Amino acid sequence: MCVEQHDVTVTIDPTVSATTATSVLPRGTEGIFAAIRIVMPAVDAALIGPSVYIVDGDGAYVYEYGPVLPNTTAWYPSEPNLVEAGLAPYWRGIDRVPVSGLSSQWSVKVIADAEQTESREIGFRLLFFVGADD
Amino acid sequence: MRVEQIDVPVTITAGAGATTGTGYLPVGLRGMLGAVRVEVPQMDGTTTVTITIHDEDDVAMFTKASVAENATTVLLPSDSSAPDWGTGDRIPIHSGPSPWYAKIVASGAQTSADMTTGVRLYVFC
Repeated sequence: MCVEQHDVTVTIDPTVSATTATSVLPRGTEGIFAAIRIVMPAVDAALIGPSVYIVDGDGAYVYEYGPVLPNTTAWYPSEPNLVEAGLAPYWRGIDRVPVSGLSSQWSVKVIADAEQTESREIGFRLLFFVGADD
Repeated sequence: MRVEQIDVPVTITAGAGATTGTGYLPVGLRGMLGAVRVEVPQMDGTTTVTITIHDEDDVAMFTKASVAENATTVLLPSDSSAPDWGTGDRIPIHSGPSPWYAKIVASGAQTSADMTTGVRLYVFC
């Protein structure tokens, strides 16, 4: 078993979409999703921060976490520990979240709860377990 | 699957307000954290310590407060408060090219002599 790291930046550009932005993961990214580090800047409507998603090649949400507090940098588990409704799918601690970008392009997506008036760059670092674990 | 045992020495150098020591994880250590063992000696002005593991940018990957002095304690991934790893979660370790590090923060200053201890990490590789 080893650990691979991928850094991704997502930018909400108000001239494109005031609430939503997507950035693709490197082609071939695959493994067991282990953790995500989110560098969240200040945002408009800062009381409720954006939600982040990992999306498969067909647009389905594989991981959802949010809201993420603005002006924070933190690691988050692959299991959402929030109790808010709507987290989908709700992976439990014993589950393993698969990511497989071999045949399709997976991505990271951000949806803000309010329109942003300035460009917002949000940084992600994803860690994956790869290789045999037995 | 192999298990690597990594000893990370940490020293709090005695002095006024001396509460914090840091030790770097080896560059290239990658795997899944199994357990953290820490041996905390009797200290000055201290009843507990906080154990943290940070990435290279000082973002906490593991935090456990209120670890007793004069005791040896084994901590599990689910003991972490920030991030709050639930039971069954697996903590990834990815030290390098810039090394991650372990930090010990005492609740009171170490004044009479250096406090030398450290953490032992068990990592599934």
